[in-house]
Amino acid sequence: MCDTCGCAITDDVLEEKILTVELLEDLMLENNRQAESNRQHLDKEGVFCINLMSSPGSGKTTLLERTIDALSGKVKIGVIEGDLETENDAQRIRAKGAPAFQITTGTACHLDAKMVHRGLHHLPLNELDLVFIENIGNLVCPAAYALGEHINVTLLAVTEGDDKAMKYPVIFRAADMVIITKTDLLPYCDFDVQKAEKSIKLLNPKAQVLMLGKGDEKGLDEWIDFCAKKIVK
Amino acid sequence: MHELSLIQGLMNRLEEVVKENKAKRVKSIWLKVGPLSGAEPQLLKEAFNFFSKDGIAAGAELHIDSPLVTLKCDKCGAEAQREYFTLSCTECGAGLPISDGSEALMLEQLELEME
Ligand SMILES: Nc1nc2c(ncn2[C@@H]2O[C@H](COP(=O)(O)OP(=O)(O)OP(=O)(O)O)[C@@H](O)[C@H]2O)c(=O)[nH]1
Ligand SMILES: [Mg+2]
Ligand SMILES: [Zn+2]
Repeated sequence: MCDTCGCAITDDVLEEKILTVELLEDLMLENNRQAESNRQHLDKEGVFCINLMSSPGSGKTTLLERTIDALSGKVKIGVIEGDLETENDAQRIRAKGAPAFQITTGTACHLDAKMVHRGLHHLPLNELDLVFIENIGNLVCPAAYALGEHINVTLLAVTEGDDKAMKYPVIFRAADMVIITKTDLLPYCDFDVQKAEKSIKLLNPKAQVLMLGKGDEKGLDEWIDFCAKKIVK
Repeated sequence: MHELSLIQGLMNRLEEVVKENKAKRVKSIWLKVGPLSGAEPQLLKEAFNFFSKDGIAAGAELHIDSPLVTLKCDKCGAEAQREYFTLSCTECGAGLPISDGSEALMLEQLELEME
């Protein structure tokens, strides 16, 4: 019985000692630390790193193939590929003559900084100028994970609809650049480019928006120019 | 959905904090999850129930604070508090800026039961 008031609380409950700990820390602390260390690793090697995010099939690997071709002989590119299964995308990159490391996550819907760390050790960083990370095709989860990239590029294919930025704001907020892809298919889709651009700007005023389609050399030139300017070596 | 990995990360962090403080177990956890954090409070709770069946956080209470976002319209001055973020002013339809804290994903506080 309690001595103070005579209530029926037993001693061991009274003696339960509680410690309150204020942490006020980011839930992603562990991942963010690893991402920062990845970035330092890349900086030390003088490598610029771009993280590509989009839904499945928006054209990430196609963009990488075109980029490697366009910069061949000028800029050395390496790629870390993320997919749930298969080596397909890494093989497509290797067929273009660039080193690629495939991460297969099994069920995980995003890459995290630890996986990318492993990937970086499989690339000849000292020989490279530019590393691309092709994230898992998913418009939700990849946005939450810093990987050590210097910039994020989010792709949106015109076949996906012009309201996608509004529906998936987080990933468009994370982007430094948004590329609207498959613009050659505009005649077959009800995709209002101005509306899409307006909502991207509303969500993320600092994001640069670029248009790219099959056979569109002007869009590709703009992209290549953008990449070439990032080279630090 | 990445809520499972988030909670797995949280569990690792709880282990550390319990060890550092020589505590017995975790009694309560307070998270802050903003509407633009990319994580769903309900899914976080389900993931927590799954991972806290035993171990140092067994039976712990998870509190999730999902802050309301205050939005003020630049054009007409209307103010609104919303749990979910919207892009335009309900009064005049103008685009709204996104306020601080809407992307928060924080481990705010713990209550530990001591030896
Ligand atoms: N018409 C047209 N098709 C394209 C374009 N870019 C990509 N595609 C096609 O879209 C399909 C998917 O392209 P990928 O480059 O594999 O897309 P991805 O984003 O890498 O896909 P995941 O890695 O599976 O998420 C392929 O059949 C491409 O040929 C484009 O600009 N125009
Ligand atoms: Mg691909
Ligand atoms: Zn207004």
